[in-house]
Amino acid sequence: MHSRHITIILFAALLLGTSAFGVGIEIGKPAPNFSLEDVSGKAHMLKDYAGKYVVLEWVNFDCPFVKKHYDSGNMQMLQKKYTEQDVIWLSINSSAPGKQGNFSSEEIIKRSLEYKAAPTAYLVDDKGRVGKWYGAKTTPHMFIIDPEGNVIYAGGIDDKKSVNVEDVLVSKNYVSAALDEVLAGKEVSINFTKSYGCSVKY
Amino acid sequence: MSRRHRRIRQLYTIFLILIALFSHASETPHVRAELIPLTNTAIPGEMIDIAVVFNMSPGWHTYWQNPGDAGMATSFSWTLPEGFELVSMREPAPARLTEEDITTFVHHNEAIYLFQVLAPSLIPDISSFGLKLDWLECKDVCLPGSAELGFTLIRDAVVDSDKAQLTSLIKRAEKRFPNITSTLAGTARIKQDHLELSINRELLQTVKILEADFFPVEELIYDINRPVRLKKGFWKNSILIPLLKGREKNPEILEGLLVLKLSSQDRVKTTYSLINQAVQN
Repeated sequence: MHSRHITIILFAALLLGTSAFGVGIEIGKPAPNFSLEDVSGKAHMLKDYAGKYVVLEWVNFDCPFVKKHYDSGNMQMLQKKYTEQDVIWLSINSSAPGKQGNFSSEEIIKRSLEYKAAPTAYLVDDKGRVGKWYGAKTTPHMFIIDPEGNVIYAGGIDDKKSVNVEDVLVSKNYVSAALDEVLAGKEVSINFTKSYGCSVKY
Repeated sequence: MSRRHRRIRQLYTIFLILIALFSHASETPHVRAELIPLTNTAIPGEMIDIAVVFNMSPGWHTYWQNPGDAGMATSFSWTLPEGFELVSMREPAPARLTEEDITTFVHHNEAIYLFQVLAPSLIPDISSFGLKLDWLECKDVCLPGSAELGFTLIRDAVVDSDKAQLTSLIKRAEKRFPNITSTLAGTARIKQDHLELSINRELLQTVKILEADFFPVEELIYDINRPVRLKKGFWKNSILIPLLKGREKNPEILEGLLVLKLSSQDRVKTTYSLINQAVQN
């Protein structure tokens, strides 16, 4: 893989101090900008997506909780459904080299194809800077950012803290609920939940 | 052969068949789960004690009822004979594990859970108990584990059991069980970014608190990544439990496990107390 140039742009003198989710992340407050490369080496900056809703999904394909959502097709379905509605979906992997979930570009491409994953981009954060900055604790851990660049949802993907694929059908999906609400011009009714999953392998 | 003897033989045969059908233990590569009835017979109206023992390979862990920032609590789903009622569950005190700003509450090495089931006043000759377990075992990677275990009890049977082994098991379990009622805690009040729990003065006449920790049951209220601190005053000692910034609400009840390292006359001991008390806002 190309050497990954990671630049984190600190708008965030504004945002110093700890919060519920990590350094600088608070519901209703600006999301920290960042720049991360995808598997082809292309840099993606959060601010490039200003004016659109952005979903950040922390991912580790070997985590059983992530597998639950990919084996069931749930995550891919959400990615496809919302990117078709002009939502930007960024899957971010913060696993450090040598740790679970840190893959070569070839492996990421292979697995993404196998899963028919459909995010806008799969970004590599192998130094964990963006993950720690956002306070990403688990895989999956989900964040939604509005067109003005504010965090409008942080937390779990749904309310069933299990690894059972069957639970996907009977769970309340918080990300889908929040996106449906904002795309219909409404406020997000549940904007902060407890994420669940494997710890991010920083 | 008398009728009574035939009946006993029949029951014994059924018992052996059921034993063969049910498994007491299950093993994944890193965790062994075992179901051990501590009572070897079912007596109408009496309590049946059952242990569930997890043995983890070195470095591996499972999770407490509140797993913390990541992980998954171990779940127990019982299938009990008709009329039997699950009365209580005791879980050992967890350990705090912090890696890269991610704090989890875990069980290492051995975790013994104790359950109590109340038998009804009328019970059949043979009672079969089933338990479905789901857990997450983690080290540098996480793997889901599950097991379906069971056992049978015969009414009024007299069965030999290895008493020394059971006594040792109960002794090991009791070491890590919290006290259900605590006389340690005084009042609990919200003070800006923390909850202040005062400690009863009577306790402090005989002991000194060296360290304190708190494991909350409720999620998204307490900041488990900041340390619990001691505040020592002339009149009172308090424990400061950090609250989560951005929490949606303040706690109305302080519920969790309070761990205190105490010293008394050159002896140091650790106490585990379950706290469940109203919070004054």
